[in-house]
Amino acid sequence: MTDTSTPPAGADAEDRLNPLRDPRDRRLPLIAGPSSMVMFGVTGDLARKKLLPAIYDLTHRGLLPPSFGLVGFGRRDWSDDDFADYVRTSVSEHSRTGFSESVFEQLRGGLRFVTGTFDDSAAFEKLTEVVGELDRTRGTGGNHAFYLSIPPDAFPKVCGQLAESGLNTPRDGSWRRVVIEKPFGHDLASARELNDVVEKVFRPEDVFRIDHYLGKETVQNILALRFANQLYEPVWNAGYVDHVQITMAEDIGIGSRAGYYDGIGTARDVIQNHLLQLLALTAMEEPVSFRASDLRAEKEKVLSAIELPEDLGEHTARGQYVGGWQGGEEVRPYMEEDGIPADSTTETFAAMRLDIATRRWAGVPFYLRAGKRLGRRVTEIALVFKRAPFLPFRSTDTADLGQNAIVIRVQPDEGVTIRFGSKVPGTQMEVRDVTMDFAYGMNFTEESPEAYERLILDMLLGDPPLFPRQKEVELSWKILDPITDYWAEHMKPAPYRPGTWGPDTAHEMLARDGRTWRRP
Amino acid sequence: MITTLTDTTASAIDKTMIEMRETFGANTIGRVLTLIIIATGDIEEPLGAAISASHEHPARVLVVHADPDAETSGLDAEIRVGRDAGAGEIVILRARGDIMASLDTLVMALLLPDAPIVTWWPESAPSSPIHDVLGSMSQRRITDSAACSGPIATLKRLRRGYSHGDSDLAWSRLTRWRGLVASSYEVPPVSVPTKIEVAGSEENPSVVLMAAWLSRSLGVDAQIVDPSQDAPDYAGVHGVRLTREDGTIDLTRVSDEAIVLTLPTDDSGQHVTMPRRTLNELLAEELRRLDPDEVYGEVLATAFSGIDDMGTYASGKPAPTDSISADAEAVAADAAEATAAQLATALKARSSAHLVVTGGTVGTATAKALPAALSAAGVDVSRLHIWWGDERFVDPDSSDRNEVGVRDPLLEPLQEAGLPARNIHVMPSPADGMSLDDAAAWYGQQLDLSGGDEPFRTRGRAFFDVLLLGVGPDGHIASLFPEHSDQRSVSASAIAVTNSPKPPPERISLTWPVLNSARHVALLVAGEEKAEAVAAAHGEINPWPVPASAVRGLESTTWFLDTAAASRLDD
Repeated sequence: MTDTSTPPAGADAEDRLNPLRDPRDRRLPLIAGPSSMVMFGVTGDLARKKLLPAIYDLTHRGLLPPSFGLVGFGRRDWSDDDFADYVRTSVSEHSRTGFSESVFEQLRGGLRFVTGTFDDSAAFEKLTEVVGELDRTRGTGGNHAFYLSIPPDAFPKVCGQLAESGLNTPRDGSWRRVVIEKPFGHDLASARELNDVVEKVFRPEDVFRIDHYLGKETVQNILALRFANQLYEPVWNAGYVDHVQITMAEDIGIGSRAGYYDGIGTARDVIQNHLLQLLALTAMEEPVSFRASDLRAEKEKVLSAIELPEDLGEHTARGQYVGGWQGGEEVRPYMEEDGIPADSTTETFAAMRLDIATRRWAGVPFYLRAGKRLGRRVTEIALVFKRAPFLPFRSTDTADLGQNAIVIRVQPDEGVTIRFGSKVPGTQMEVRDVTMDFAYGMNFTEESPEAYERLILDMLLGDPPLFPRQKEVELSWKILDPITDYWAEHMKPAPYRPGTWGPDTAHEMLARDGRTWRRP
Repeated sequence: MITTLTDTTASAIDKTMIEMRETFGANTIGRVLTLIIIATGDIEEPLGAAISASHEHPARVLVVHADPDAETSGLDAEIRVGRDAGAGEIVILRARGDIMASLDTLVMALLLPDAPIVTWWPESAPSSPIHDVLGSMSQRRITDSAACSGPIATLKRLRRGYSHGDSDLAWSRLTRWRGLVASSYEVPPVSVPTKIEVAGSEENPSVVLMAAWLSRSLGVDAQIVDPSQDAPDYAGVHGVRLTREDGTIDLTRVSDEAIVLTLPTDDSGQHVTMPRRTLNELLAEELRRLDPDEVYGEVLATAFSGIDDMGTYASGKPAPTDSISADAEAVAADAAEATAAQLATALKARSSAHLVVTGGTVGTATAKALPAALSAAGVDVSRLHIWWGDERFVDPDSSDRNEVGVRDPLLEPLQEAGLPARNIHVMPSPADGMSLDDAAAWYGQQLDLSGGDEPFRTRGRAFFDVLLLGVGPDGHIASLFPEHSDQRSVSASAIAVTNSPKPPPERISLTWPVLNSARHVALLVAGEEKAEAVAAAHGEINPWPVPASAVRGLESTTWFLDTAAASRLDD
């Protein structure tokens, strides 16, 4: 699934090399090849609660090679044993698959710790030695991933040190990869700046941008629904679809993320990446294959065809939650959350209309909304269909008939709902909306460590379809920048009660188009 | 919740399930497949696995728990939904008596429309899953050779009867092992091993499959070696050792939880957690993909070479003897007397005895002589089962049918003497509403059901006590004709024969392994026109040109001949 031919990296290349991996043998678990991971920011919250447990869970599931090495890099004066104790504590508290001494023992053999700061060249020399030792004794084969679980402003230093110590350069046949987490900048300019730093040191195809929210299941489910079926594609266009609503709602507030969240806001936090990715997957043309490059080409095409409303004031909305009772719990207003300045103009709700200038979608608005402290936690894509052009019923018969809809429920309760009209039993003739539900057996949850497990495994396997490339990141900032600029100048967030579906301005925004938001 | 229905029918069960759905709102989540479990022993363990797997694969689970020997025929059912069924819904069908003869119609009304069907035999594997009435309508057929008596023999039979869509839990038990071996192979510098050893018992199907998988994939013969003396007693694979130019990669199970990996560069041993897989995990893995597991098929074929020589089934058994009498009448009398004596002996040792009858002049004459002979030998005919070696697929009352020939002289008197109708296993005719292929498969299944898991082996336990066979002038027996391609079909117990050189062209015949699973074989021949065939069949075992040479009983094979038929035998 890689774009490059040399050096061989990724599952496909390994398949060819290993006669035990018959492509038809789909039972055989895809275990990552010999490799190690160097983690920067290993004492941070994310590493402690998500990343280390995800690595442990992968080990538990037998998906990491026995030789797997994990090197922590940090300021603390720790021995390997201290680090092992730290990992043990993190894992026993947060692992998904349950703590087993035996699994930990397996992981334990490959744990190393290097003490140092990001500008300490000696520490990076030590890191080079440790990584070399893993290659020799554990058989990690010179394959190393660097996970930068650190603030973006530390990237230049770490990348510079990695380049200086030569750790970024693979030897024959091995690979070096770097993993960075969102946010990928806060606007186009900063995104480019960040990227320049990373791509100066690593090749573009070796940079893995982790967007844990958009897990593989969701992407694959949408692709399967659209492109594995004959039923939907014929109506998946402006001829039949009236409009599309993409919602990502959370019922919680910003919690402890004040430091990051304030000044960023919902649009930059989730619309730029998650919602625009969902939009791209919903609206894109059929890719010629599911190879990363082909998928990306289609997503980039549709993102570049997005047009903003002329009057941003009429067709976008922005809100901020106030305090009150939400679902039996009294909650604080955004302004009074810990660490938020009392005059903050950061939005916690954002909605916008986007149009797509293609033959398939001309005239079909895509309404995006996202926010905190909304009615319930839900992410979904709803295609709302046009009304039937003619109804051979008396108008009273169809008074309760709404528009047909296909709803892709992303989470929770992942599945598909189809809404259509059906006769009410026993009556003369009365048509009413009913829904037909399909639920996947397994739930897929937003912040479940499973998303990290898949992403880390895919990264080690060199399987990139899920990881956005810089071009996509830049395209989405190009869409969002004019809106956030306009908001900063002209639109203050409108207040909304916690536990509702956002401010009135959001409802008015749709009412102007003669439509209403679905209640998800 | 659990609802129990006694003396019910499939359609009543279906109706009850719809009522339950309407009343309690249960079963609203989409079901993705129907899982049929054919249970012979305890049902709760497989059911537990099915409930656990239902969280990943919401399924309707039909458990067929049969008691074919029950006095009366009938059906009780238990429906479990909601908390008692995980994310699925469960119907337990307790079928008694003759209901087992039409298993397909028992489950038909309960199958989910259009959804794939998976059939699972937790213990007793059919000799050919694809030829099973339920197996033939399933996308996936799951057996567990390790849970059968004679695991390797079962696996061999499964190899003989393999068809795309078959799968065995001995194979899924290996998945994590295989993943680990595949990933160890990738330890740099990668090179193809010069020697491969798999430690474990040769009697364990997973060990055999592991060695076959490695041999097939790497092109190096993998040796099965005994685990070291002090190794704990694990079932399954103890270890795998790949010897390469740069040293040895060794994987050894050290506990039920873990494996130790030793590399050429590091002999301190890396600890790998690999707990033994539970039934729940195995089933969930099986249900994940319903497309054929071609690799399993190829590995199975690598593990056991196919039997190309149909004579294999007959070889290694006592040599035939001749019993020559004056004429056909005398031949029939001799054969009937010998048969009666053998059946009497069988019934002393076992609760029932199985006799295969045949048609033709001498065969019919022998049948006629049998009631008196049985009575004289004191045989309790109520414990007898009657089978046919072959039958013509024509109208049920046609005089072409072997069964019609023995109806009056044999079946009627025996029934009067107490032979239960259900013990008479007549081969189907077109009037039974089955195609020729289905009819053959159905008959094979009746044999499997009556004989359980053990019988149809080259050697070992027998199923039939006495097998009576006529011999054609061309040397054919049953409907296995000289140099006729259908003769070579051994994947099922009974096969359809088309283009028979002797009319009528469409027939059902038992196959070589089944015909060779009798204690005593009696070949009944009279008349000069058959002398040549008899002479040829007295030579070496050579089934392709001379089928009659290739059927042998485990204890005895007797040629009952008249002088004319024996005229060409060398002295």
